[in-house]
Amino acid sequence: MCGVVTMNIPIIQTSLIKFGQLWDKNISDLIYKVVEKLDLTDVDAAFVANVYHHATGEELHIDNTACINEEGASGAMALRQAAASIMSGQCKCAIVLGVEKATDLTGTHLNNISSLPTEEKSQGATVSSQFALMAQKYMHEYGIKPADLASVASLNHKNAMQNPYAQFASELSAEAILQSPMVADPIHTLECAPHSDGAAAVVMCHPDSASSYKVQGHFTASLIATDYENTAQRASLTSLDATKKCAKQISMKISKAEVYDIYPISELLAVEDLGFAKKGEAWGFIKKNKDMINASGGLKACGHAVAATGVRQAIDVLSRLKASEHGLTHSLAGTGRLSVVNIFKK
Amino acid sequence: MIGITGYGAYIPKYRIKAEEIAKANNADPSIPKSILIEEKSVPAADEDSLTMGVEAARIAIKDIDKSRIGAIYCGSESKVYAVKPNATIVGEALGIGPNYSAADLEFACKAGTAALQICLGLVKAGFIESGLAIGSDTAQAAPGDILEYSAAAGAAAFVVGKEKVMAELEGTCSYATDTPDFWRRQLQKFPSHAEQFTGTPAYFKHVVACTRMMMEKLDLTEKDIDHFAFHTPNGKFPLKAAKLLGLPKEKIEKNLLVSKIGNTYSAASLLVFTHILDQAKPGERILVTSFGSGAGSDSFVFKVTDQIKKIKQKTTQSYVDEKEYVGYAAYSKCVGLLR
Repeated sequence: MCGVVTMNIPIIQTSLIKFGQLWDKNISDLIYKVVEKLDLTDVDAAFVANVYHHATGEELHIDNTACINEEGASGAMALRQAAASIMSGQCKCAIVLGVEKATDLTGTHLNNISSLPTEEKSQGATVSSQFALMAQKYMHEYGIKPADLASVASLNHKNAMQNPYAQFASELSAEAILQSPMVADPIHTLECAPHSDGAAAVVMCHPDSASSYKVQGHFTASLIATDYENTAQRASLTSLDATKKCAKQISMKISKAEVYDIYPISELLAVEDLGFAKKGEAWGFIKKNKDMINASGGLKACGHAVAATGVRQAIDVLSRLKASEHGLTHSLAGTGRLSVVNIFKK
Repeated sequence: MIGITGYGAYIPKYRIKAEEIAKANNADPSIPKSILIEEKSVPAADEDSLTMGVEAARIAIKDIDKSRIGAIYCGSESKVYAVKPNATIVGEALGIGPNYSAADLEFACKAGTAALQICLGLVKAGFIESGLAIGSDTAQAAPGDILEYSAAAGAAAFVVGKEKVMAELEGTCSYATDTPDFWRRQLQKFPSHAEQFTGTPAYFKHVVACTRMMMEKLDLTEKDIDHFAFHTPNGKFPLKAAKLLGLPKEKIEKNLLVSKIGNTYSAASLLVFTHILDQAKPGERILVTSFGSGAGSDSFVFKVTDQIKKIKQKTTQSYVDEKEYVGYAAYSKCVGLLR
């Protein structure tokens, strides 16, 4: 059974650092930078998402602090936990902070940290290799070509050109992507979301005190579901059960979605598993609904500061919603062992 | 007038093609292409940083009165002995001494320019009449590491003094920070590196800052300088540094020597310098900026004199052209991957 939290939590402040290779900033610098313009006077709890450095958020000097590490879903999970705490009365006003400093680590370190089961990891599997298997199977079943996968990444770069916070706000053709070195067939280097440095934060309060603040939007539902960590044990390679279980609980019409495009295949699977498109038809749907899916540029072009991504997605989807519209963010841990879907409305 | 009074280059004759290395590692052949490495030099089984340094220095001192050489400094990160200097063996082999100061220097890829800077300083201070500076390396790389495409072997040697100067020193400056981009600990066979960290915060930061500082110090602009010789870890980096500095392509083209011989570490920026000197005309100005991981850069500006016309010796290009290809197996033997 999918874990559902429904609510109407006001989001009263947001802050985002443009992701990138921020060589002159360490993890504390990133935290100070992202909170410098926030008013934390009323904040009585902190939810700090971080994967690579066990960041504690000590910089915030908030006693009621929880640290969250759910890999790519960390930021989304921190938002969910903050909302649950507010609803339960554990706190009145919470900051959710996602922060990541990836460029201090080498690729080998990053691969070692990823949560693949021992039986896969010991045989040399990586997150890339497992998504590559999914992509191979998807291409086989639905007749999708490598150029289509590259086009998914290319479109995200095009979308990012309007986004001042995107790490790569420039065009990148599918041809150029296909010429980049192969990581794990059919995934090319330029189809991978980058490991970025960055931070994102939102402040949320209890609905009863909403009138004291300038409300920017509402966090209305959070859905999580899990699956086997080992891809060989899963029901399918061309859909992620964790995401499908979340999608079953979505009761409202979704107008905007920021989905987890760590590779093009993960974006295609998300669009289908979330129920936006039928199996095998995701790419056609995305092309026709450019403003709906990853209008920010997604992880691919905004950058992927892993634990900050879920918070960044929330800020991006909120900024694009019109009055009464609902939007969602979708993120995954590992290769799909956990899916978190958060729903927002203006 | 203080400056270069003699110089010499040495590059081993063996080459391995980058695509051969890619093939051996089952890697994508587009990887070496992306860093503009076509092939690299391979030291023969009986060559090391010492023998190559002697070869380059033999050319550098051919017209020099050896009795006036008061210092030998050897820069290398592939010293033959962990404890025992290359410098004294070079001195003995060349018949210099015993009245000279000697030491080996290590600063990753910039130890050769550190040697040059020290010799220039000693000459300027009047402590010695003439000094010999050598940068020489047989660079190491773990099989399959991206470094394997570029880690090569070569040496460059310079005699500095006050008489018959062919390239006058106009100025030198340095820039150093504690930046852990690349290192090799005691008793480790191969170096480690911090991947992309070796770019922006390491190579580009130091090379660009030091080059700018040098030009500002001498009140020069890019227009006043005819050639730039940068450290060449690959072909892409010096070109990008030039772009960051707004330099025209024709002023840095000699840096692409690296595409044909690889990264010769302590000799790299100095071999670009010897390559430029081989064809330089009187009055031309050359700016050299090295880079050593860890990290630092030394910059120099030299102005070529009429003396350059009298130089007749084996050119850097002729070393590049005299080559014999080896396969991965022979390469493995030569660089000690197989014993």
